Amino acid sequence: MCAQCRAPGSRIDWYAAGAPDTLAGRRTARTELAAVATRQLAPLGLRVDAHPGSMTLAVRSATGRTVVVTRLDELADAVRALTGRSVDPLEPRR
Amino acid sequence: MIDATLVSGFLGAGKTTWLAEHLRRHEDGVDLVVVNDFADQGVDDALLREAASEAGARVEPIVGGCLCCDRDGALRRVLHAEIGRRHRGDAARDGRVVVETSGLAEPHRITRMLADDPVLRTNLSLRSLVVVVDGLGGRRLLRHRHGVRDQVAVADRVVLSRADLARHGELEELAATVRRLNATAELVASTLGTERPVTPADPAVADVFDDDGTVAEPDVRSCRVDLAEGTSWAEYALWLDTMCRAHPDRLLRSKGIVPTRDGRLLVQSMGGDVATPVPAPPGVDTGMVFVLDRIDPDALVRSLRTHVPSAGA
Repeated sequence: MCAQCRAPGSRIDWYAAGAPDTLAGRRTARTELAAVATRQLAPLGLRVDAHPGSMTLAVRSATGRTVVVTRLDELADAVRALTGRSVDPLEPRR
Repeated sequence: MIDATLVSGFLGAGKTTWLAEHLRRHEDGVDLVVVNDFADQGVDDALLREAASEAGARVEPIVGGCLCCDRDGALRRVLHAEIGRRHRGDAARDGRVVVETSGLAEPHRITRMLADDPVLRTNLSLRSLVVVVDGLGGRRLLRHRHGVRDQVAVADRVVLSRADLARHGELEELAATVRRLNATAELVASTLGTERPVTPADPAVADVFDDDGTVAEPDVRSCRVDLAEGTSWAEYALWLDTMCRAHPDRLLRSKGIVPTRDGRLLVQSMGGDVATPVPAPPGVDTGMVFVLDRIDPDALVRSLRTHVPSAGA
């Protein structure tokens, strides 16, 4: 990345903006995101939990280290913090 | 005589949003809007149709290549036809045409074509060349993409879009970079097409333009993927986020409709940035158009099918 430019990324919670604007809609969106992220991050040994009653997501490593995030775009930073790696969807899934 | 306005700017800069609002506000009325999409299937023409019909303008899409090279003949034909139409009818006033180029077009080649063609030279005058620059990611593009600097350098008017999302001083710094490339253009900031003045930062923050001869040869291609009804928003959003992060310089643009269980969403990304999804307007086909640089479209489609299984086979 160029030293002059900021890291790419969104300034808005665009995932939430695409979900229904109701409490139930937001809860469902969060639960679904946790399930999908757990599938995607399983090869890195990570699990994402959405605890009932909380609007955050907990990203956990196999050793129990946990990073709590509130938005989809924070997931990638949490993955990097826990594993030092990032996900490239163009790489074949193991 | 026909007055022409040329609207240009890189992929995802906000040309269509600005133009839709411009059409709604234009007091003189526009007769024809020519919309160019690099991809084979256009999305912009469908998005502009409502604003254009309110303004009483026709929309003529030209898809599958840039107006400045592959499809310059198509633009010439459309403009000749419009001139012919005006000659045959009793035109009470001068005609007005707006041409929105694709994000990859080189506007100076279009202005040269307008000047070189004897029919166009006589019957059409270029009133304004508007270049839209993304208020958030524009500075990065100006630093690293020669083509974007060329667009800005020939502009009469530079619109810095998405002004509402910019942090304090950011637009002014971007305006200073634009001013360095173009000393005379009028500069405005725009939020969803609503304009306000912007003053370049003084002194300007220095930029290093570093892509001359150092980047790999671009290999820009586009593809379209149809997404099944009931596509999971979580799956698509997570895939798009990781794609934009992993390949901000290669996934140049994505734009289209995601038919989620809760409704159809218009979803767009520009490099590493994803715009706020909005409910899709009616009349736009379900499907997503991707503009890729040095990514094999088949690899992208495979990745999408793997990570977004709900989008269907």
